[in-house]
Amino acid sequence: MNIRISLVIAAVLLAAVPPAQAAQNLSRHATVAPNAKVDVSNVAGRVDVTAWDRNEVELTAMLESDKDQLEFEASEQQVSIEVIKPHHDDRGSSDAVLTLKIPRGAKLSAETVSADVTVAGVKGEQRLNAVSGDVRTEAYDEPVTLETVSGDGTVVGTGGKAAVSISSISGLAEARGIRGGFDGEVVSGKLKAEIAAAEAISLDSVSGDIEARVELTPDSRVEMESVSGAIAFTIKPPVNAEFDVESFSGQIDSCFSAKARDRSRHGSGSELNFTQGSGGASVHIESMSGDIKVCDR
Amino acid sequence: MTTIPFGRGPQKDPLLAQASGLPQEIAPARDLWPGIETRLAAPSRAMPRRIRWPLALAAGFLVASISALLTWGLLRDPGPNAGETMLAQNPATQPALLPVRYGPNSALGAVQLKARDDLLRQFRKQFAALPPETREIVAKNLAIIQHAADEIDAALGLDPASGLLNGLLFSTYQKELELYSRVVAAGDDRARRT
Repeated sequence: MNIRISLVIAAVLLAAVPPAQAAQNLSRHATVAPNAKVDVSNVAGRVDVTAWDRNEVELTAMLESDKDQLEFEASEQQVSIEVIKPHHDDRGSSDAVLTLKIPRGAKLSAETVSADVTVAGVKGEQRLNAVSGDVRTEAYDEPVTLETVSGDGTVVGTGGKAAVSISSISGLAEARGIRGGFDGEVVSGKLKAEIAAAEAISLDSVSGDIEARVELTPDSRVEMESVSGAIAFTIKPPVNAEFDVESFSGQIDSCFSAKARDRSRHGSGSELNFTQGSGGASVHIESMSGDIKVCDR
Repeated sequence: MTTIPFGRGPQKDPLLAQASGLPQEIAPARDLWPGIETRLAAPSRAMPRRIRWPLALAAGFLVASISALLTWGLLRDPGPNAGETMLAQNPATQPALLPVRYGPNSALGAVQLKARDDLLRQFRKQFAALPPETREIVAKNLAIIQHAADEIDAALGLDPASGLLNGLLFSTYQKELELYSRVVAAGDDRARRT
C-alpha cells in the first residue's frame, strides 16, 4: 500500500465521520396587536418570556442541534413559535433555549415536555403546560392556568384579581399573593397557597399535603379535600366564617373553641361544625384519613 | 432411507470432463526470467515502513471512532416505535398501564368506567413515548390513586351511605382521568412538534 492509497483511505474514512452538531443561534421579530395571542412550544431546554411596552414579539433562540427546526409564524393577532425535532429525537436529547419578549397585554400559551418555563410581566391570559419542567409566572387580572406532571408550578400574585389554577401530579404547586379565585390540585405533590382576599378557593389532593394561609372576605367560599394528605388551614384574623369540617379517620384539630365530635350516631368519622365571629365566609374541609388542622395563627 | 452423496462424480460433470482434457502445463511464448531478474536487482521504491505507520494508525483510529459513533447512535436511538413494541409485547409488566381497580363497595357506574377505558386506550399509546423518569412518576402516582381507591372502598364497606366517602371516591376517579388526560395531551403536543 503506498502513500497515495493510504491518503485516499484516510480521506474516505474522514468523510464518513458525522460532523459535530452545530448550535443554531436564531432571532425572529414581528409587529403584533397589543393583545395578540402568542403560542410557544418546546420539548427540552428553556422558555423565558418577559413582557415589554412594545407591540412587538422578539424571539432569540439557541438550538443545540442543527437537526432541530424553528418555526415562527406571525400575523397581527397571533404568533406561533415551535421547536420541531426530528422524529427519532422526540424525547428531546438536545436543548433549545427560547428567550421571548412579548407585549404586556398578550395572551400567552406555552407547552413544554422537559423545558422549564419562566414568565414575567405578562398581563394577558396565560395557559402554561409542562410535563417535567418547572413553571413559574406572575398573575395580574387575567386568568392563569398552570399544569405539570412532575415539575413544580409557582404563581406569584401582583395585586390583581386573576383567577389562578395550578395542577400538578407529583410536583410542588405553589401560589402566593393571589387575590382572585384559586384552584389547586395535586395527586402526590405538595400544595402550598397564600391567598389574600380571594372569593373562591378550592384545594384538592390525593396523598400530598395541603398547606394554606388565607385571608377571608365575607364572600369567600373555601373547599378543601384530601384522601390521605394532611390539611393545614390557617386564616388571617379576624375570622368571620362558618366551618364544616369532616374526616372519616383523620384527626381534626382546631385553634378555635369548638372541638370536633364523633359522628358515630350518623355514621363513621368525626366532624367539626361551628360559626366563628359573624360568619359570612364559608369553609368546607373533608378528608378520608388525612389529618386536618384549622387555625387563625 | 435415501442417502444423498456429497458432490458429484467427475464423469457426470461436463465442465470437469472438459477440464481434464486440457494440457497439464503450458510453456510461455517467450523467456520471462531476464525481466524478473532486472526487477529484483533494482532498488525498492516502496516507502519505508516508519513513514506508513502513522497513516495506518490514523486510519485505525478513524475506523475505531466511526465504529464507536455508530454503536452509540444505535444504542441512543431505539427507533420511534421501539417503546410501543415493548409495551405491545408485554403490557402486563407495565404497572402504569393497569387502570385503577375500584372495589366491590365503590359504586362507579358503567358509564364512568367506559369513559375511563376510552381514555385509557389513548393513554397507553402515549405513555411509552414519555421520558423514562416521567413514566416512573406517572406509574407511581397511579399506584397512589389505586391505594386511595382501596382505602375508600374499605371505608365504604363500613359506611356505604357516607356522602363524604362517595364524594372522595368520585374525586379519586376524576384524578385518575386527569392523569391519563395529562399524558394524552402531552403526547399529542409532542407528536405535533416532530
